[in-house]
Amino acid sequence: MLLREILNAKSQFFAVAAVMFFGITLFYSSYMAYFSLKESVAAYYERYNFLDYYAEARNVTPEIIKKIKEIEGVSEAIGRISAEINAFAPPKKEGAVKNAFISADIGGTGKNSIRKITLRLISLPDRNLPEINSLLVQQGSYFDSDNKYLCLVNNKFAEFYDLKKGDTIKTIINLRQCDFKLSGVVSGPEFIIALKSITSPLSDDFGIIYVKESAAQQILGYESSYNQVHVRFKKGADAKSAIDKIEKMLKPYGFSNGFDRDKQFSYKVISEEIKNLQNTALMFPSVFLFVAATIIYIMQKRLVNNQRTQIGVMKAFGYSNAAVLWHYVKYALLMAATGCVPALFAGYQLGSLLLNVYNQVFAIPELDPKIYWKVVGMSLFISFAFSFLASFNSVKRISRIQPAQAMRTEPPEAGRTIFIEKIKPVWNCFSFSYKMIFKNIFRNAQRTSLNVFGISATIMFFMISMFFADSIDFAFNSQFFEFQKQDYSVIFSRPSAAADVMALESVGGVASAEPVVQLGVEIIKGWQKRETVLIGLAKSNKFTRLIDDDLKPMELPDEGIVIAHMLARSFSIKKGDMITVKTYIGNFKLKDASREIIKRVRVAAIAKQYAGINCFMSEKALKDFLGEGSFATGAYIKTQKGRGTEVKKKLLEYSGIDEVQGRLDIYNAFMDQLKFMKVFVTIMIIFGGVMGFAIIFNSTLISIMERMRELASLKVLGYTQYELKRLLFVENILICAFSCAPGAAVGYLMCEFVGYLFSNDMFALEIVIYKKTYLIAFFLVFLCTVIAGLATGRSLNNLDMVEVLKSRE
Amino acid sequence: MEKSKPPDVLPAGVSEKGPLFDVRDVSKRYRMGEVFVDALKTATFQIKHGDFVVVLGPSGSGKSTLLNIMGGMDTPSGGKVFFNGNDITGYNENQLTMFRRHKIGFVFQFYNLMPNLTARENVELAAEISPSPLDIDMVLEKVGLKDRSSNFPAQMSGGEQQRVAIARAVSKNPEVLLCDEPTGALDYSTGVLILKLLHRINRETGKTVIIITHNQPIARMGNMIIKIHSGEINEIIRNENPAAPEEVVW
Repeated sequence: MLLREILNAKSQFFAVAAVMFFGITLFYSSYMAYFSLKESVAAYYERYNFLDYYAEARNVTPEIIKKIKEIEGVSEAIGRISAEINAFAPPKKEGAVKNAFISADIGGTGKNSIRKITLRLISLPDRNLPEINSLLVQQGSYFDSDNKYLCLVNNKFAEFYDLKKGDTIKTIINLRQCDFKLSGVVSGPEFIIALKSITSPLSDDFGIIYVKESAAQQILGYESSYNQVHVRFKKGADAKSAIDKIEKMLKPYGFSNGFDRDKQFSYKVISEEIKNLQNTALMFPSVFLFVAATIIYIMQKRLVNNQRTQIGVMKAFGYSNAAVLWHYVKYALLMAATGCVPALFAGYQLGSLLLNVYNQVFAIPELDPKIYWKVVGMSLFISFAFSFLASFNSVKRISRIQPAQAMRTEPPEAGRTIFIEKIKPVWNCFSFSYKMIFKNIFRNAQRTSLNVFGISATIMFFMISMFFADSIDFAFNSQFFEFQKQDYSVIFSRPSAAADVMALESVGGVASAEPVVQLGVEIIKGWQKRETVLIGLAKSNKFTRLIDDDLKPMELPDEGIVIAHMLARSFSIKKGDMITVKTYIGNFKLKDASREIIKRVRVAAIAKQYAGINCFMSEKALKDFLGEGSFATGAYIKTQKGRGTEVKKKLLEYSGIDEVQGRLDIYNAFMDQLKFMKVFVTIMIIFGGVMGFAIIFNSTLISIMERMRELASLKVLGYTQYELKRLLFVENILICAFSCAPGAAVGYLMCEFVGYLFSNDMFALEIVIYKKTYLIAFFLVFLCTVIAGLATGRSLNNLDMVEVLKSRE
Repeated sequence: MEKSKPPDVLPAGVSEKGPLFDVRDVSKRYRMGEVFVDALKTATFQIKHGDFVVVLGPSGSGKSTLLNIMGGMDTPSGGKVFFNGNDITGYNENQLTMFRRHKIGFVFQFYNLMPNLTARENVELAAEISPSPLDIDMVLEKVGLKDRSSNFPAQMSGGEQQRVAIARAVSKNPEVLLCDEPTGALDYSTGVLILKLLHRINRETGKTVIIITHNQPIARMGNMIIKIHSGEINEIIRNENPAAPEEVVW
């Protein structure tokens, strides 16, 4: 009997199953990726002793490290040297694997190009792997000879340049070239993602080089001392009191900063990704599941109405309420199973694909797809739970049906005047067929509301899918085309006099240059602190455009600091507030840096910044802050048309220039990463399209079945197939149109919510939804309506007037 | 609309204008599973303009099948039906729709009104698609429902609903009213009221009315009575003295 019912309404059955299928596919794949990522990362951290706390100081001796180890609660402590150095980009070998996410090719990476890149140098014990932040040697070996100049590099960097054991890495340290021989390729929990910063996507421009402690100390001038301390605590230890003691102990040794592991860059990025994945796993599938539940609810309500007599007969024969209820609930559960079971397989495939993408971005060993029985269980549970609840709520009134009543013909449906009819001037404007359509729309308010809900949910789903792309596109376009006007940012090896920048203008191809100061600073407000870059600019600068909160251009104030709106938002800073700004003057290069400056500064303005949380000061304000004359750490330059690459190459040949970053190169690198986003948006739109189609298709079919007798009567009266189809189609189109406003409103609110969920202290999504996104979302639901209209039109072709009008039911 | 050639010789009893319906050897055979059922076996008769015809037969005799074929809702397995000389059995789906729309007014046993439309709107529904509709208010007044025009079907008695159905059929200004057991769901006195109404329409407007019923006394009303049994026409009677509706008792 159940099978016959399914066959009778197979298209409806499979439409619901399809919505369930997509919902569970999304749920399973995101949860599978979530657990894989979370567990692999946790295991990685545990097995390779990822740090719990790290401190930066200037000259920490081994004795201090020993003392730190003795502090209660500390299980392990190490000292090491970390510094940013320059290197010549290794020549790229033929056939080297190009990572999909590391594709920015700045300045040409031809075989013999000389290109400077930044490396983070980290010292390691000469013989053994470090006790904290240990490493997984993936290729070659740990330092295996007495050669002082051996090195290891992180695997993503090695992969990009196809580096092998025995290759040479040419670095420039303190303006001297220093060659290291590659001993092995490693990965470690500290650099699951190795980026210079969140706003610098050029991964091929950055790598980690591990060298022997003895070599680092010698080259960088640390005589048996370190500039970083890494600590692991015992389980259950009072970390806070231990940290206090450590920081107190390090004070005389130039302690500058101490951080928990959750401030560590790679940890932060991966934790955010895990959090986002969990949000995705909850949010997107729930839309599908709610929609599936809605359709099941409507569908079964109609089924029970239609089968009232049979229900009465069954009950009269002595079937219990539970037995009859179970029949209908079983039908819903079967729909869930039909959607859910194949979704487990599809989800596994999609999850594997997702992990593959993660493997390209992150360096996490053993991040392999595997079957999580708990996810299988959760998927089955939620699909059955949603179906059961929807079905049960829809059919529970069966228990109230009295057999005798049920076998009697149901009284005719009561008609009523709809609200719009009461507004005569409006109502009279409609032709009769539109009046009839409006009456049909409002005749079953619950059904129409559920349809509006379903279609609104589809619009919302389309909007959320596209909003990420809009926000990111808007942010990058504003940042790279509105706010920044320079062609290249030049970073000097050492601070120079501002006047020296003018010399750059004499380089062939440079149209103009202006000095810029970039300082690493810490912004402190109350208990909150954040590291960022303070950019000092001449008041009359041409290349940086600052925009205030109302999107109006603003001038760089003479006094005080201008902070990024995202920072202002997360620290609740208002214009006029006083904040603490801390920096180390001269800390551009290694340990010859030293003077710490901590000052209270007034926030002169808040500027929009979409990629990054940079702060700005005018030349004068910076002078007040630092107490130093005008100098520059770099320059912004504009090149003559078509001579950018040439200029860049030339500039990199100057020993006083460390880096030359192209504005468009960075922009393109970001855009390149968004290719993945486009795939994501397309998949989501397909998923959403199926959902929208299923809603409209099912509700139209239900509507046709319920009104079979009426439609047959109209056909007898002489209404043509076309006129009947038009009535239903216009009805759907109008419901669709009614859903646009609530869909767009809910969509906007959900985008805000999603923006909030996916924002963190490194990255905040600006809520931007382009007009075209609304239009595309509306167009797509209308398209779903048209396709559903075509698909349901067939059932009207087969409308048998004689058969339908013959029987009362 | 495709026109087929009218018959060469006018059969007896047909006016010069020609018969309204000329049913020739019409049969209908249904397939029910593996067996064939002959719902109608070679029915032949003619109906004139302005006739009040009663097709009488017990349940399952094939009278509804006959009505459906004549009304363009079903196609015969054999034979032909001419309407005003046009062979409607050769019509395609679209032509049949136009035939129903312009020529036929149906009245059903169970009214088949739109529950969410008022009485007036139900009538308007039919008038809307007619090229020469009658005035809706006038029609409603004729059926005695002027004051009930804004009521919904659920707020009306069976008799009132059937009057709305008749008004709906009449408002299209069709040439013929086909009524399938129009009193079948009504009590005696309401049934008589409906018969009176149909009788009046026939008399006053000259429209042909064909009533299908299993109720023998109603047959007395017709000036033509077609008796049908087991799919066969047993008898066609031309009744010179039809009874008035109020004389009909059952």
